[in-house]
Amino acid sequence: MIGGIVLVRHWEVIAKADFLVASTRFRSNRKRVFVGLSILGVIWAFVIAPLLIDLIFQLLPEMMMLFRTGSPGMMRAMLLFLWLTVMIYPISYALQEITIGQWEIMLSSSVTTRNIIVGKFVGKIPYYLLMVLFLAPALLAPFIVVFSVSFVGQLIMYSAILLISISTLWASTVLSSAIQMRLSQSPRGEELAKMIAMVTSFIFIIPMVALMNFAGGMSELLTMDVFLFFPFTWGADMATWGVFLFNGIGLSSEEIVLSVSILRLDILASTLLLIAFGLLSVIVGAVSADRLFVLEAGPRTEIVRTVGRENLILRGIRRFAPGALGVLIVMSLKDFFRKSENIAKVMMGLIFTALPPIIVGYLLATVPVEAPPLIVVLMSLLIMIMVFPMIGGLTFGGVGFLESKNHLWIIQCAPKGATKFVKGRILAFSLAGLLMAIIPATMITLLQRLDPLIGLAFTGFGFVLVSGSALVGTGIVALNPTYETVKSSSFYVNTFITTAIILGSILIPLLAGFRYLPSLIDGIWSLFGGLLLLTGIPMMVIGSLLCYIGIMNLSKPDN
Amino acid sequence: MNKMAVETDGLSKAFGTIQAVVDLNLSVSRGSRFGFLGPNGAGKTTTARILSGLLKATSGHAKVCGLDIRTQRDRIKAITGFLPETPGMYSKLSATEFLEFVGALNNVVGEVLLKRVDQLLDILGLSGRQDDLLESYSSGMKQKVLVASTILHEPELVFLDEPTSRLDPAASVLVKEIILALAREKDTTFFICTHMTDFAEGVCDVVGILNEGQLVALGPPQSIIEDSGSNTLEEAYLKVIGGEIDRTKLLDWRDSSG
Repeated sequence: MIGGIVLVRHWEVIAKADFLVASTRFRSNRKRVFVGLSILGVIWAFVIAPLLIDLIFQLLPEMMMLFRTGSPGMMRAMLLFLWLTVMIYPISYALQEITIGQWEIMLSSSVTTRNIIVGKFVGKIPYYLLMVLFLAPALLAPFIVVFSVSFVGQLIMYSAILLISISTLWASTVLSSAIQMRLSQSPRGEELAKMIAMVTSFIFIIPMVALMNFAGGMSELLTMDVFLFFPFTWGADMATWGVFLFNGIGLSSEEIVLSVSILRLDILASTLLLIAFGLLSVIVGAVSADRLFVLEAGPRTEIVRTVGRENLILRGIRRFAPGALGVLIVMSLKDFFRKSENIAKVMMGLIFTALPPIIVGYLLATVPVEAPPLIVVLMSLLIMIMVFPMIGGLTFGGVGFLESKNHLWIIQCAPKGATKFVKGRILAFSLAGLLMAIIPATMITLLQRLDPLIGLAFTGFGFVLVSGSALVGTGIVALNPTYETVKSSSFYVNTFITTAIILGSILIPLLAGFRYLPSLIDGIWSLFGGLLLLTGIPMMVIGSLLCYIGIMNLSKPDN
Repeated sequence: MNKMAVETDGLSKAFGTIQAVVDLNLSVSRGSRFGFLGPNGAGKTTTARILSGLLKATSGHAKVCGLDIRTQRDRIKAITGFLPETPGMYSKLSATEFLEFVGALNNVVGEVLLKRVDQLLDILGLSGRQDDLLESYSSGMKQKVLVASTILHEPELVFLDEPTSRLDPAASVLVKEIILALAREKDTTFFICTHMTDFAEGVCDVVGILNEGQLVALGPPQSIIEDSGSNTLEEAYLKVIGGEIDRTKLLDWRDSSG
């Protein structure tokens, strides 16, 4: 204590603040909730997860064989998933909101950048360790059950997980802070950060999908030597050694040598490499802290974007709809397509909507005889029904609808302002959705050498699916506006409800009416009509209804 | 035509247990410049939002330009303008595009609108930046664009919530002159929520002081000054609100460590 001022450890204060922010929802019950969850996590890890996996193995014995024969590769696949979760999730989460303003306050209070990073890292530990505590047992329990791993073996496995999680969390904290600092706090930087956050989320999804669908092939791939350069491999190999050395099924030393021959490194080398990675990332982060994190007005912050002449499409819309509606459609399109995160969403949407022709092509290649056009169309339509609505709903629903409550008030101040605004948005989204329908329809038509008229029908079918799901997404957001904050609970609730309604409005009528479909279909056109009636039309009706209720909600004065 | 722009009768608004506005009885005549003074949280913004149809009153009645705020909201919106305290605008639109958007919401489009936009931006000193995205604007520049959006459709009554809080002195004078010119030439009524007493004194012909949701003073600025035995409106305001400062205690916090 100097001159009445108590000396505090800055990183501790920052860690506490970060933890309090992350656990705001629990308020004064934080301690009880975290202790309770930790106890539940331990019970889950050592009792529930093994019992559950045992039950699954009894139902699906072939899965047990998969883990038995391909364990080193499977372990690497599991830990790749965990590694990506701990690495990418914090980066994606942190980049959704640039918090350089907080850094400025801290740095102006003579807090070192090293203290900030350590504080942010320590503040995240309880949250992410809990996540790992619930995730890791689900990934490790299959090995524990298949090889009846002893307590010591399990301890080694969980130590590997702990080492890899902590070191990766540190690395991701340093990385996300560095990206934040480089992007700085400017509208453009914030937008770029959101775009990166969105792309990293997709990077996270891809191996997950691959893991679900191509586990066998991926495990083969993951046993390749090139993966020895990745930290998750060292953690996976350390855990694999724990499985084999402490197995309870009586594997002979020859069998163990044979099984682990693929690993190249022994348990000591894997463990040392993992510890070295942890230490190195701590040293690199701490040493580079002052170099990486310098607040400055970079050249990017000085860029002012000026709008130019409107393009041909926008001018066409104005000519076609010369009144207020035309203006509102044009402004909605400009606002949507000028945001990098929306461009990223549309690009991702286009990639996913291009999947049906590729999947159909792949499936048909496995058919020995040439498939008739009706089968090609049916397969394409069914895959479109599965893919298009989700893409439409998630691309055009969600964030960016209203930027703030004040923004809503400006709209509400105009007579029937909310109605005009939502109508303009829906029409703008429908026009953008047309793009998503045309590209895959053209691809299917060209790849399968179909009649151009069928191609046109595909476009129309895809358009109904995308615009119907956009109606659902818009209706939900109008009912529960997110005001642009990706992290808000409204955003997650909206995404969940949008997905549930889209799936429900397609699957329920489809399943209810599918049995009557064959009797109604006597050709390609009735197939289009029948499926449209069972999927696109119900979704359009439900979406329109939601938009109507949403408009009512936006129009009414606050209480 | 109704001679009153605003008439309230026992207007009250509660948010849970908090009484934001209590039994407000107020009349503002057409063509006047009414200044609604009061400290932060006094209920000024809440009143303006109720009158412009954005918020429901808990009890009481009010009419805006002779129209009932409960049943004729859309008609009220067509003849009023509202400037919110915080700018709420599309960051990815330029000033011209944003004003075109607001114009379209108020059914003003085409050449008439574009001409008004150009002239307003010119008057507000933004003509060189009209095509830059709003994300690059300073808060003062955004406030100027919002002022333009509020008067774009030539409303009969304009609600301004802290219109000059983000503006530099030159821009404040400009806004003040625009208000005076519109009131003089177009007989536009202004309902200005502010806690800037010097601005209210210079612009408003009638002032109401609100404290904890209750109207505690009403009249021309000069009469409020005289009634409270003060020299300026700021002094009168502090006397009415009870916000006088005890200068002897200003640095007491430094000795609190004991």
